[in-house]
Parts: sequence; C-alpha cells; structure tokens
Amino acid sequence: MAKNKEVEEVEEVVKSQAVKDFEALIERYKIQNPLKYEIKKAELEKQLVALSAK
Amino acid sequence: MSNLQQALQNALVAEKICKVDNTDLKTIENPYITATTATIQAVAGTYTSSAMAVTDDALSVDDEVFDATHVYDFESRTGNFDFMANFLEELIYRVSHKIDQFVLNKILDLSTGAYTTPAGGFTTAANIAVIVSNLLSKVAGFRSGVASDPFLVIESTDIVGFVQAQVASGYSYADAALNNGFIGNYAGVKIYVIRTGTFVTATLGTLTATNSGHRLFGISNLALYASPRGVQYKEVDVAAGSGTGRTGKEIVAYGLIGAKVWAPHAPLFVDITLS
Repeated sequence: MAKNKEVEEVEEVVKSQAVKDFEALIERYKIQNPLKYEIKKAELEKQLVALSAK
Repeated sequence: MSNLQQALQNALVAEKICKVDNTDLKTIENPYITATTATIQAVAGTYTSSAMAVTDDALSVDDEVFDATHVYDFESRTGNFDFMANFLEELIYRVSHKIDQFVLNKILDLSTGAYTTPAGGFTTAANIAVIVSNLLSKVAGFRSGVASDPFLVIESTDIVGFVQAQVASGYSYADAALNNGFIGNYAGVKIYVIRTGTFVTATLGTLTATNSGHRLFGISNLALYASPRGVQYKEVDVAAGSGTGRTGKEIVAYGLIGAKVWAPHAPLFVDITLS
C-alpha cells in the first residue's frame, strides 16, 4: 500500500535526524581519537551513506 | 519468601581481562618512558647522550552509571516476593553490565593494533586459525611476560565458525569442544563470548564509540579500569511534594567508571575489523 504524504514527511524528518546524529557522532570521534578516525574514516563514511539511503 | 525470576543476564568479562581498581581515586597517574635506541659502534671509548623523554599518562574516572526504580509500600507488604531485594539485584546487574560494555568499548577505542579479518570473519570456520595466528603475531616477540595470556572478545554471532573449527579439527580439539560444551581457549588464546550488540557505534557517556563490527584482542591484565567503591546502592524515601507523594522507597544502583590502556601497551591491543 502506498504511504500517504504525511507519513512520508514524518519518516523524512526521522531519517534526517538519524543522519544528523551520526554526523555529530563522527565529528565528536574526530576530536576524541584523531589517529583512529583517519583509519576508520572510510568505514564511518560508508555507514553514513547507508544510513542516508535508508 | 520466594525470589522473582530474573531477566536474562549477559556474561561480564571486563573484570577477567583487566586489572581493576576499586579505591577512591579519581585519577591514576602512570607516566611512561619513550623507548631509546642503543648505538653500536667500533670501539672508540666515546659516546653521545640524548634526553630521556617522560610523558604523562593518566586514567580519569569521568563516567557514572545508574539504574533506579521505585517499590511502593503496598507492593512490599502484599507481594509474595521480596521486591526490594529482587529489584535491587537486577539493578546492580544492569549497572555492572553497562560498566562492562563501557570498559570493553573504551579499551577497543584505545587500542592501536589493527587487523582486518578475511571475508566471513569469525563465522567462517576456515578463517579461525588464520585470524588467531595473525593476532598472535601482532603481540609476539616481546620480552617474556610482556605479552603472555592473550585474550579475544567476540560476540555471540561469531561463535559459529569457532564451534565448527573446534569440532572438526581432530580428537583433541573436538573432545574439548564437545565435552566442555563451549569455547574457552583456542591456540592459547582465551576466548570470551559476549552478547551481540555489545560493541557499538554510539555515545556511551563521555565515550564516542565507533565499534560496531569490531572485536577486541589483547593481553590480559594490562588494561586498567577504575570503579571507585564498585557498584553501590541505596534505598531512599521519596519526599512528599504537593500532591505528589509516593509510598514505599526508591532504590538506586550506581557506579563510577574510567578505563585506560596505557600508551606503551596500546599496540598489544588489537582492533579487529570484521570483513
């Protein structure tokens, strides 16, 4: 069944909040552990892309 | 009085792989010397000297964990169970478990060794010997006693390959795996199994953990965690406000926590990326 517009809008807000939270987490990690961030950068960015695509 | 059936509880492993400090210290200082290099030369009787570098390093207790609930007086009086004691037991366990999760994620974050498994990770039986041998090579060759007693912390979903590898690899391993019923040791490495979802990419107090899909290998008793006075609890009367009073007591379990891998030991802890 097709989703109505309101449901889609709510999902969009929820989705972008999850993405925002993950971006904030990445920023915090960059400061907390810069050396390891460089190692994990690709992995975290991949996870962010996957989260954005959900 | 009967006891209530407790909720499922997970294994706690941090205390088995770390040194634990339960004193009242907020910080534990442990400055370290940077390795020097000796010079070899033809006999000349002369030498040059260089400064010895000493760097500060400290564990700081910066996080606290709590879990609380309320037991009404009528529940205590008329229940067939000792709610206060049973709830408290559960609260203390939940706090202990959160401390365990924090310590494991913190140690994994502080580790500087790195290894990526072959495709399939620990769930492919053929990978187990490859992974464990590679991990051991990361900590081999150090002075006696430095890198002894290695451990590996995996999640419950990883044991598929371990069990297959153990029962299929000859009588000795097969017997151990079958008779003991579970994985305890593989190639001299102590294996600890925690529930799936313990290593997380999430905020745990002051720690930003990025450990989902990662596992921990290291040397026992080199990392340190401090939990001043361990997990404590108290029962408190809830003050009656204007129309908001409650009978009974509030019960709370709480603990302070900090964890550290000292800088010279960080390479002995390996951040395993599952592939």
